[in-house]
Amino acid sequence: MSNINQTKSPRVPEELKVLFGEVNVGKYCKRHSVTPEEFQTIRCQVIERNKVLPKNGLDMLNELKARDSRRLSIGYANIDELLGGGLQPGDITEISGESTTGKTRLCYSALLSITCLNKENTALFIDTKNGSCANYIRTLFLESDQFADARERGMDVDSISDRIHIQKGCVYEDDLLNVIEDLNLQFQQKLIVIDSISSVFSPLLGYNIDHYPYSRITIFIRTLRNLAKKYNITILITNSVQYARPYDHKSVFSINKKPALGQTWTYLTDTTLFLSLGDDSDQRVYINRQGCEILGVPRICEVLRSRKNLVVGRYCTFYMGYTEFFPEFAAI
Amino acid sequence: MRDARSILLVKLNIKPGQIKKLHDAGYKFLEDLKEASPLSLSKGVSVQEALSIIRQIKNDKLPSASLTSIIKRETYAIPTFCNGIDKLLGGKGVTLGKIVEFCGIPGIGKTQMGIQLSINVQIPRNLFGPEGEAVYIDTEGSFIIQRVAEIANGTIARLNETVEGSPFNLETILSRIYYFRIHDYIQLNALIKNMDEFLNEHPMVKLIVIDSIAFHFRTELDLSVRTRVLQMIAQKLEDIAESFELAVVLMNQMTTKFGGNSGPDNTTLTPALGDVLSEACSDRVLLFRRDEERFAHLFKSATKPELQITSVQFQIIKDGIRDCPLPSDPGQ
Repeated sequence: MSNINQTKSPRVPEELKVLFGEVNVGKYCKRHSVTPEEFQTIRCQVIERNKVLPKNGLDMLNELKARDSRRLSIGYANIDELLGGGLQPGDITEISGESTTGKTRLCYSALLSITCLNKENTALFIDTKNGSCANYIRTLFLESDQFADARERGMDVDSISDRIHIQKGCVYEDDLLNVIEDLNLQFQQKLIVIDSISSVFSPLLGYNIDHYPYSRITIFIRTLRNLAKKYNITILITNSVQYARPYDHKSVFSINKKPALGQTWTYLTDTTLFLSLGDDSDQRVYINRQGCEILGVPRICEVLRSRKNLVVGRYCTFYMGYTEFFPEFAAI
Repeated sequence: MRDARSILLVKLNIKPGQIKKLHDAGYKFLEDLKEASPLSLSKGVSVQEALSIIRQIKNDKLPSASLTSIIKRETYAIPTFCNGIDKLLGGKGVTLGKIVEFCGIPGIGKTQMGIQLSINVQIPRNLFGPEGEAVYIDTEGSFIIQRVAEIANGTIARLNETVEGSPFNLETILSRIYYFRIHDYIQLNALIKNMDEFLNEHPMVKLIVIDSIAFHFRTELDLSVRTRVLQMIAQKLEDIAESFELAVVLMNQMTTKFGGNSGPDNTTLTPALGDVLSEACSDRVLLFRRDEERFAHLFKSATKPELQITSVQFQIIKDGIRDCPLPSDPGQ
C-alpha cells in the first residue's frame, strides 16, 4: 500500500475524526476519492502515527543520565545548584515572589545565558505586563561579570539581540494561546520565558467563581508542556504572590505570602523557586571586573516545591545589584 | 480584544527603513495595509519583503520582535519638567506604553503631577513633545480647574522661553483634557472596560491619569474582591497602554504596615493596595518630604534599576512642577 503513504496526509482535525471513528465513511471516500479499503488503511496508518510506544526501565534510567548533562545555567551558580545543576529542558520551572524581588531580572539572566552558549540558540520572552526593557537586557550583557567570559570569547551584543525575541501585548489568555500555538511553525527556541502568568490568569480566578478558569490554566500548561517535551524547550514562568493564612505558609522566609494562582497551579509546574526580600537596610557593595561599584540589596531564593528530586527547603542568600548577583563573601 | 485600526506599523517585525518607506507611501496603521496587495507594496519595498509583511498582517497577530528591532523604535516620552524625575523614569519622562505609579502622603503633590503631565502630553512635536491629548480620571475631586489654568499658563510661558511663537494656548490645552469624575469602584471598572471605544473616537489620546486609584478601594470591600477587581483593571490598563501606545499614570495613597522585616512592633508607611498594583506597574515613584523639601524616590523600575537608590529633589511652584534651583545631594 505504498501509494497510500504518498497521498497527502490529512490535516489535524480530520485526522482525529478518522481516529475516533467520527467520519462518515461514504462522504469521506467521495470527497477524497478513495475506496473504503483504502480508507481502512488510512485509518490504520493514523492509529500507527498517533500511538505511544512503551519504554523499558533501563532506557529510562539512561535517558535520565543523558538529560542531566544537558541542563542549562540560569546565569548564577548558586541558584543553579538549587536547581540541581541548572534548568532542565522539557521542564517547567516557576519563579515566584513579591514584586521587585528579582523575578524578571533572573529571567533576563537566563535569556542571556542561553543565547551566549553558542551562535544558534534563540530565546523568546513573552511579556504579559509590558514591563520589559530591551536596553536593560543589552546593558546586562555588556557590563555584567556573569557574561564577561562570553564577551571575551567574542560573543557580540548585536548577535545576541537578534536572537532574543520579546513578544509584547500578550495580556489575555487567548493571546498567550495564540503565541504558543504559533510556535509550532516558527524557528525553534531553546528557552521560553513567560513574565508573568499571574497577571493573565489571576483576574479570572476568584473565591466565588466556578472552576472553569482552573481548567483553562490546566489546558494552557498542557499545551505548553507538550511543546516543551517534543522540541526540548526549557520553560521559565514567573508568578506573583497571594496572601497565605498564617498556618498555611510554606516558605520559611515569607510569613504570609505564597505563590499565586492557588492549589491547582501547584500541580502544573515541575519546580518552584520562591524569592523573598531580605533586610533592605543591609546593602553591600561589590566591585565588578569593569571596576564599577554596584550596590546590592539582599534577596533569598529557596526551593519551595519540586517534583523532580530536588531538595525542598534548600535556599541561598545573595545580593542583587544593577548588573550583578553576588554572594555575601564577594562584597567588600 | 484589540482594535486593528489602532495598531501602528512600527509594531510589526519590519526593518525601520521599510517602515519609513511605508509611512511615506501613506500606510500608517495595520488597517491600511490590510487592503494592500503585494504588487502595490513592492513599488517601494522588495517583493520578498512585501510578501513577508502581508503574511504577518494576515495572521492578525503581532509577531515577536527581536531586541534589535525594539531598540530602533522611536518612543516618545511625556516630560515632567523636573529633569531629576524625568531621568528616574527612563531618561525623558513618562514613556508611552508603560504604567507608572506615583504614591505619597496627602499634600505631597500627586495631583499636581497628574495635572502637569496632562498638560505636558500636549507639547507639540516640533518642541520634541508627544503632541497628544489626556484623559484625567478623578476619583477624589481634587482636579481644580483654576489650578490647571495656572499651570497651563506656566507651561506656555516656559515653552515660549525656548522656542518662539508656538501655537499652544490656554484654550487648546484645556480643550484637550478629557475629564471623568468617578464616584465608586464600579464606575471606575466600567469606565476602564469601555475605554477602548472612547480611545477609538479620540485616537490622539496619549495619557491616562487615574487620581487616585486607591480611594474607592479602601472602604468596606472584601480583600479578595478588591484584589480581583484591581487585577482586572490592571490587566485592561496594560492592554490599553500597549495597543494604543499611551502612558498610564496611577496615583496611589499610603497605608501603614505593621511588622515587616524590622520586627512585629515596627510600623512602616507603604503604598496602599498591596502587591497587585506593584505587579502591574513597570515603574513606581515615591514622593516624600524631608526637612520641608519635596523628594522623589524610585522604588521599582523596569529600565533603570541603578537609580533605585537615589532620591531627587523637586519643587512645586505657581507654574507647576520644576527642578530645584540649588544643587541637592542625592540622599537615600
